Amino acid sequence: MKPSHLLVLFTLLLFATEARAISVSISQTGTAGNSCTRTLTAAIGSGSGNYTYTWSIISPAQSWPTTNNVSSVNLALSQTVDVNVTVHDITLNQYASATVTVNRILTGSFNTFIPNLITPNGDGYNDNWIVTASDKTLSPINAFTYTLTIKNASNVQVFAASNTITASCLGIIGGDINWNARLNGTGSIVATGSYTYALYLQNCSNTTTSTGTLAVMY
Amino acid sequence: MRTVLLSLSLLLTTSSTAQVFSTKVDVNVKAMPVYQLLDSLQTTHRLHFSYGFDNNSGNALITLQAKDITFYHLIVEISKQAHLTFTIIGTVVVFKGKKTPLQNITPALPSISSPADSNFLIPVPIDSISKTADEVIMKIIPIVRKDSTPKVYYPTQLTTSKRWHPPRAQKKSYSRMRIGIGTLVEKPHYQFNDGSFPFQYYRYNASGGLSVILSYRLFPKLCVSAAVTTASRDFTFHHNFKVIDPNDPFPIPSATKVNQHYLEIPLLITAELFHVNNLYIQANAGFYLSQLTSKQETTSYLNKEDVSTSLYINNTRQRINAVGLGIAANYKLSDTFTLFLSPSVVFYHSSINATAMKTAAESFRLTAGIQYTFLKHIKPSAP
Repeated sequence: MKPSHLLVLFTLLLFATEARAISVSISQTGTAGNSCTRTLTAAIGSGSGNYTYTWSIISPAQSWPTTNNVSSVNLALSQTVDVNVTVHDITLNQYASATVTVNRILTGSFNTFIPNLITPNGDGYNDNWIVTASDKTLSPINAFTYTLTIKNASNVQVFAASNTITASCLGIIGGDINWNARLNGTGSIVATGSYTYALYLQNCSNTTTSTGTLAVMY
Repeated sequence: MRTVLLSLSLLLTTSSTAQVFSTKVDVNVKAMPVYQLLDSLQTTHRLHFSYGFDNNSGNALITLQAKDITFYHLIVEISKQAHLTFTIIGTVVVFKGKKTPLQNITPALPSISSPADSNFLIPVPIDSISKTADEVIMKIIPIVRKDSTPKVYYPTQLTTSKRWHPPRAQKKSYSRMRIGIGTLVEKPHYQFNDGSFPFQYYRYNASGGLSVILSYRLFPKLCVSAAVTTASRDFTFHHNFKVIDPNDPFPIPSATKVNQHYLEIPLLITAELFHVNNLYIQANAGFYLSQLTSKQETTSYLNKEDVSTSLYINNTRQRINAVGLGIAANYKLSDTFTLFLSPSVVFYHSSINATAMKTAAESFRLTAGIQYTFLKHIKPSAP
């Protein structure tokens, strides 16, 4: 064999070895607001098929909460974390890793501020009845489903609304639940007086119906 | 500065009157007023002194230092130094100034030469004392040497045509009138109306006051009292509105405070139930008459300054009648000063504020203070 042939063969071997370098990525499902489990799957490229998996939470640092050394894991965390997976190709003795952010699921107590007075006089202040986070900001209230009914003092329903948030993992945020003080939301502004509301909220661990009195003054 | 030292030690204690006077004591007093010395003896021994002498005699200073002296000789020595005469009636020793012959009824007794020469006197019962002139006032009073058989002495005879009355022992040296000052705290139980909205509510405010009490003892265990008390009947209406934006130009009330001040006159009858040492437990009951003296109402807002309002005070009652029941614990600090603590419950005849309250209310109150008993001016016993 000529030396030139040996050089070509060596070059081909190098190319073949580089082509077998593994890579990994993480795919995530169950990211909707009303999903109570996030599923992570490690997708490996160019490996031999003989792998070990090491899952870990790197930020904020904490121990892995579930089964490890598997290609797919289910998480139900109450806080948003960064998850890392390191894959070891045993045959090729190569390593690869990937990191993904996993949002918290909506669980625990609800975080709401429910006003008991609105003044729908058109001055721009307290004209609408708005349910917000407890700090009166438009932050998540830790629920993904709500059902609202409002009745007047004669127990006649004047407004109703409901929704389940699926698009955003944050679920319902402050301002999503509101009433403009109009009959069924589109009619005339209701009369001053006392109204009662019933607000049903749901998340992964809780369901509750808050009832109370709403004063309409203007 | 005067140094006063009194040390008394009982060497003998027996039940008979005679043995009381033969009781030996150690005495060491320097320049002590006679009334103060007699008070000390009275509180430490089972004797009673009645001293109706004037201030000059009462303020006479006694200096006496003796050991193992009998009680009787101690009394004799006190009489000498204070220029007094005395009469023994049962366990009561009656002192008088040397003013009239009638008061000079000190029995004839041997002078004290030394403590070892101590005799004692067996007093005669009061009913054995003759009360008319030309009779022997004091019957035969045997004077017995402690270490020998009794000897008989004949006391002074009075020959006068005036009828003689034995002086009466003064058991109480203070008057029936008491004045006291106290403070009270009150926990009312008003029946409030409902607010316009269910989340609104009324709360009473902690109230208190000052009280000046005048009481008069009708009988030993029964007295009447009248007091003048300042009392407040305040409450607050909490509007309790919760809004997203407190900067709303629309006025949003937060709380309405109503202050109602009354002058109250409790008229009570107090009866003593029992006493343990210096602690006297009494029950009281009576009427409480209240007159409105001032009223004020202020409403605070979430989004503007406080404003004086009149939603409630227009319906504040001017006069309130009530009845009350209570008990009182009195702790006697001295003959003149007494601490008292009196929990009571007062039932109002009508609601205090017709707008805010439904019906009549009651309140629980605790009054504490101090009372002063007026000293009674003691006149010398008249013959």
